Amino acid sequence: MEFKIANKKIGDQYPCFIVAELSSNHCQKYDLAVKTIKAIAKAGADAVKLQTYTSDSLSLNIKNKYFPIAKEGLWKGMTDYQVYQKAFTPWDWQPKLKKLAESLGLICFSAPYDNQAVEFCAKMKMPAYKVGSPEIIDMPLIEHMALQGKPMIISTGVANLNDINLAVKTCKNQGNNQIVLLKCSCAYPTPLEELNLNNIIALKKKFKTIVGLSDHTLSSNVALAAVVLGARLVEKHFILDRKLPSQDKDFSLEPAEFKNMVESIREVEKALGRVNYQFTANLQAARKGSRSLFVVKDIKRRGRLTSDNIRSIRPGDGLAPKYFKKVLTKKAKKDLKKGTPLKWKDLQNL
Amino acid sequence: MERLTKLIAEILRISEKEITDDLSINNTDTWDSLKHMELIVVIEETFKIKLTTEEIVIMVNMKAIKQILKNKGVNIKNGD
Repeated sequence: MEFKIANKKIGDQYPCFIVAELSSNHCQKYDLAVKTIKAIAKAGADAVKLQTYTSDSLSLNIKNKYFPIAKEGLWKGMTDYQVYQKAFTPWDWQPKLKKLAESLGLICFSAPYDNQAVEFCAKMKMPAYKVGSPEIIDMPLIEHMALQGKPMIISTGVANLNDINLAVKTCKNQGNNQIVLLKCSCAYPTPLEELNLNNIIALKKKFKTIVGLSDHTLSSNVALAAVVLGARLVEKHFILDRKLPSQDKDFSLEPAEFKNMVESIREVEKALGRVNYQFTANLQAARKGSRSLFVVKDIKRRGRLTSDNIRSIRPGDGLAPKYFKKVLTKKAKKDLKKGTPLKWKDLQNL
Repeated sequence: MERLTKLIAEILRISEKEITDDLSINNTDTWDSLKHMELIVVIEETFKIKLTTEEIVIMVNMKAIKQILKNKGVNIKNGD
């Protein structure tokens, strides 16, 4: 399975596609958003991800038992509606931010949270659509996104197997097979023991899509492990400085940390390489220093080869050690001096 | 002298006189696990037989070696 997000190929044979999530880390200051995107480009990400919604996309501006005020945590004293009001990325910024990102070599796409947002993203010609974890059960919304014919990046944080199955089917029913399923945990930040990264392997096996990770831990090792397990897209929140008053700061990486994560991923990818039993030039040379059978005590002509006068030692000029038992049933055709690499031509049957 | 005795003497580097039915891996210093393997390989090659793992494990004294070779139909007196 492989396809392109904008001009970049994604799939088993390609490097991991690394996404920096801007989220609300712009603290609703346009200048900060611009600065953050510039830093994202410098940190080596492939793409920047925006969120396209308003408070009305997600909630209602009322207070009742279904829309309560948070009693604790990052958002204490606020209703969800109020949180979204503080966190959303103003829509008039988005075409400008996309243009900026592209001028810096980044791919820019978004997670639209309602139909209006999907239309808005389509107008901006977003090259991919992200389905956030809470949206995975909103099939009409997924259908609308899938219809745009662009890759669908789907977080599975709060989804059970049936939900994922239905979401994947919904995309495919719209003729859209360009699917990336992201392992994700919706605990912010995620305790490592709740992560179960091994699900990445299971997701890939079961759904045969490209798989990845939406990482809400504060560790960059988690992304590395995900890449080893087969993740070909990693998404991670990016913030200029964790001292900023953003709701997402506690699970966002700062520029130096993000850059370090990108470099580590690239390093690990290089080391992972591909399945290869062919020798490189280096290995071929090293193989010559490998073991083989040598005469370790002088053997007279017609003398028997025994475990006393033949041993497997370095270097590799003699017969391979696998013939050790076989040569014990031979005798020397001629005098063999200690230090001679053993060769079939010098041996005969007992 | 029978071929088996000669062969064992050669491999274990002991004199043929020392080779009695009592000779065993437990009372012969030169008969270690490597030598045992060598002994088995050479016996198989010399008498053109195949020994099973169970037989190889039992053949740790002269008496057992003779008995197993006999069971395999080897004429020890004449060599092969």
